[in-house]
Amino acid sequence: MSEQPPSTHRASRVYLDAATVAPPRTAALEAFRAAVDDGWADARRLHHEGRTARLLLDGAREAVAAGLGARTEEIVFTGSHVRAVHAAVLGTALANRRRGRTIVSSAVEHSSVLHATEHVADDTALRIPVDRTGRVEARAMVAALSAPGVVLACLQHANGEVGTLQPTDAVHAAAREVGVPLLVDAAASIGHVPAPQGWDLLTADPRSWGGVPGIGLLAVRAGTRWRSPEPVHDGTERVADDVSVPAALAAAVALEEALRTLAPTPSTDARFAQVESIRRAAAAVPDTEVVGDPVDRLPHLVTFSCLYVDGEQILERFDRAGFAVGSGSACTASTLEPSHVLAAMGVLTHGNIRIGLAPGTAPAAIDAFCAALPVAVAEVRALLGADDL
Amino acid sequence: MNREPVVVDARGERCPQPVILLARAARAIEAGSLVTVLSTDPAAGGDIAAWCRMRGHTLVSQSAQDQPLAQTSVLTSIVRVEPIRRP
Repeated sequence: MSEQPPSTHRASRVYLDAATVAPPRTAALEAFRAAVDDGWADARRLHHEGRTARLLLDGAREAVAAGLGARTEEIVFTGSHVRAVHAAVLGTALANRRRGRTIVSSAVEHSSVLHATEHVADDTALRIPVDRTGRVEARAMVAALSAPGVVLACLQHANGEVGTLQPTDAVHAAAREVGVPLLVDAAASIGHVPAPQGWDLLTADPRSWGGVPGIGLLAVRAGTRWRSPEPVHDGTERVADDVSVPAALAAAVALEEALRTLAPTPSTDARFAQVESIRRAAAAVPDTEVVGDPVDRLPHLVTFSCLYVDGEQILERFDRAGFAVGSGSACTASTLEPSHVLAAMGVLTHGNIRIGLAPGTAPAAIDAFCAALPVAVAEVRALLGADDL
Repeated sequence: MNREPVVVDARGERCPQPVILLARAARAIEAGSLVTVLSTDPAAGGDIAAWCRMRGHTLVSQSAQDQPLAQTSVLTSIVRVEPIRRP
C-alpha cells in the first residue's frame, strides 16, 4: 500500500497539533470507507451481513493485539480513549472494592485518569510529584503503592504534553511485587515508540497514531482483577459499548502502518531532530522556557512557554498564518485552568505553545514555523505592552 | 530599600497580566525591595513562581484566602526583587 503525502499540508495549512489527534492516515481512511460499505451490520447477528461485520471486528482486534504484544482476548474496543480510561480505573476499583479504595497516580496523568480516580474516592486518590522534566519520582510512587489499601497504580508510558518518558517497567515490577495492578495510559506513545511491556491494564487512543475518531482502546492482561463498571448486556462483550466496526478497522490498519515504519529508538525517528530544531528556536526566543526531557522523550512532541504572552492570542496569530498548534495555557482551555502537567512541573503555564508532529511533516514546514515563532511572540508582547520588560 | 510596601493588585486580571504587572513594578524599584501581588487567576500562583525562577527573583511566600461571597480565592504572593542578572 503506497503512502500518500500526509494531510498536514492541506491547502497550505500546516498541522502541528498531532500529539493527541493526528491527521488520519490515508490507508486508515480507505479501510474506514470500505468497512462502512461492508461492516455496518450488527456483529452479533448470525446472517451473512452480521458475520461479515464480526469478521472485520475480530480481525481488527487480532491485529491490534499483535501490535501491542497482547492476546486477542485481552483487547477491548471502547467508544473513545476517555471511556477506555474510565473503564480501566472504575473497573479495577470495582473488582477490588473489598481490598481498598486508594489509587496512586502520577501528578501528570491524562486528566481523564485523574478524574476517574477522584470519582472512585476523591479523598484517597494520591498524586505522586514529578521532577522539573515531568518525570515521576519512581521511589515515591513505589512507596505509595506499597501501602495497604492500594488497589491500582496509574503511570503513563510517556507524557502527551511534554513528551517525557516515564519509568513504567520499573514501577510495574515493583507494583507486581505487592500485588497492585498498574494502568499504563499509552495514548501519547503507541505508534511512536515501541509499546510498553510492563502493564496490567493499557489504554490508548487510535487518533494519536492516525486512526479515525470514535474508538478507544483498553487492554486487560489475563489474570487481572477487573469488572465492567457498567452493566454489560451481552455475554460476549466486556464493556457496554457498541463499537464502530469501521473505526476499529481503521485503527488496526493505521497501527500496522505506524508499526511498519516505527523507528527502533526515539532518536532515530526523523521527527526527533525536527523537534530539536524547534526546541533550539524556542530557546532562542527571550524569556522562553522549553520544558520536558530533551533526550528521554517521545520523538514528536515539544512544548514551551513564553513570558508575557497571552496563549489564546498567539494561537490565533499562528492559526491566521496557517499553523495549527496546541497550548496548555489557561485561556486556551475549556476549563480556564492551566495545564495540570505544566503546573505539576512548576514551569510557566501562560504563553504556552504545544507542538505535535505527524510523520512526514515537511522540513520546510518546520523551518517556516521556527521563522514565524520569534516574530509572533514579539508581536503579541508588543500588543500587551510588554515588549520592554 | 523602598519604604512604602509595593502592592500590585491583579485581582480580576487574567494571565499573563498579573505577571506583566509584577514585572513592571519590579523594574521600578530597588533590588532587595518586596512586591506583594494579589491575584485571582488560577494560573497566577504558579506563573509568579516561574517568573521568579526565570528572572532570578525570590518568591518569599504565597498564601490563598477564600472569598466565599465573591466565589473566588485571592492569592497573596510576596516577591523580593533581586539585582538584575548580567548575562
